Amino acid sequence: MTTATSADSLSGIRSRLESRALRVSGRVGTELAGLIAANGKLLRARFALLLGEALGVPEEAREHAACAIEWVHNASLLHDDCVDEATLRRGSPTPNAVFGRSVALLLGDLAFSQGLEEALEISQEAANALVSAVREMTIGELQEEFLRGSTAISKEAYLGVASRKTGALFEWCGQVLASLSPHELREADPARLGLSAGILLQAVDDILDLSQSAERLGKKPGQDIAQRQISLPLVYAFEDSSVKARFEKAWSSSREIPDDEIDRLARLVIDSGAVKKARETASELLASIVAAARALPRRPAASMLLSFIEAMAAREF
Amino acid sequence: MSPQEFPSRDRIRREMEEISERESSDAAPCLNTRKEDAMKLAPFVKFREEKFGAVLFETRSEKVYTLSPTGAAVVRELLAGADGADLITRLKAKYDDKTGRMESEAKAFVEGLKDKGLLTE
Repeated sequence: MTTATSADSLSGIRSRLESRALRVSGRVGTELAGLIAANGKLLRARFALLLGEALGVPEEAREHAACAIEWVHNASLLHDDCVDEATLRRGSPTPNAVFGRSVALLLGDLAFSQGLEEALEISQEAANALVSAVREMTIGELQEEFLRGSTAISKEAYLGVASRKTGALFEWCGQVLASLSPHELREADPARLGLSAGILLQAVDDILDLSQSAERLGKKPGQDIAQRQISLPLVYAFEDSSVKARFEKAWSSSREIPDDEIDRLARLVIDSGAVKKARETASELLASIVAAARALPRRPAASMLLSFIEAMAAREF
Repeated sequence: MSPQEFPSRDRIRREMEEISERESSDAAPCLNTRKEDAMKLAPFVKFREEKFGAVLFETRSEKVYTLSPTGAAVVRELLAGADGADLITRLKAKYDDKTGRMESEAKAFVEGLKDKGLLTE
């Protein structure tokens, strides 16, 4: 994926993540500390850096926000992989697969604490707001967990869950960066922009889970089907009663769904036109982001932010 | 609660389906391209339609504001993309307001929200 963020800014973020991880490495081991700052796409950090720039936020504060959001995201990934019993992420074995669930959960807790420390570097208010965001995020995760196997969710309800699970952290970023902006933000609404970007990212992830190969994804496709997890394409697919009935049958058993059955169900969803509808919803979200970005005070940086979000929406992995 | 009394997974899922429908308005503003003069709930203010009625929840202070039926109708329209100019028109199209009472309640409600910082323009 192309990015508007400069390589220098991102390598700066990687260095900051690593140096904070090194602070704990002597107590838990360098290898384990490295896992909580493992290389990822840094989509959230890029978003924070670009939004901060479009709001005229000083560089130091932008970088703290970028690191905080990445730490909390990494924490949630570590916990997610335990919940989902995932063995691969970004093409590498997950910490829970290598060291066991207990170590991965504790590393996740450690990553959360690192995120809070980064937020405290910004302000007490930023840290307070991050606690609220993590609460909303966790509630979203719990809702998703309890909705496993559900075939009776509306698009609006699904998007509401996504707004908490994925959107809350982006919303926090927009809220905190807005509070640090030297500009009077009359029309701009960075928190809402962030919320939309977070939901968009979730929608794109859901689409990719059904439409990309294992090689591109770095993990097996069809994981939402395998995990009986709600996703935007599935919500649309369940509008077709015959598709819904097939899923109810497949999900009613507690046994693991075989790979060939997952492939058949995925094909059924794609053929129902649900992925296309999910893409249309992603386009609607993108349109609202474009409108919100127009109101940001620093236009060149706002254009870079938009290019980045458009690339994020069009990504293939 | 004894283990025998734990609710089944199916029951929790059904309950969660109801909860997620009640909280479905959280993402609504993200699907409406914002107009220049649109009003919107302040960040971290969530609208909830609970069994006992509608509320606004300010998640940072954890304050909960119980809404009248008119207040709930106003917030639903704002989340659906109504702006200052067409809010009353939308309400009048949906509800019988021959006396003009709903209109005056809605205007007062909107001002109250602005005063409390729950609504921004």
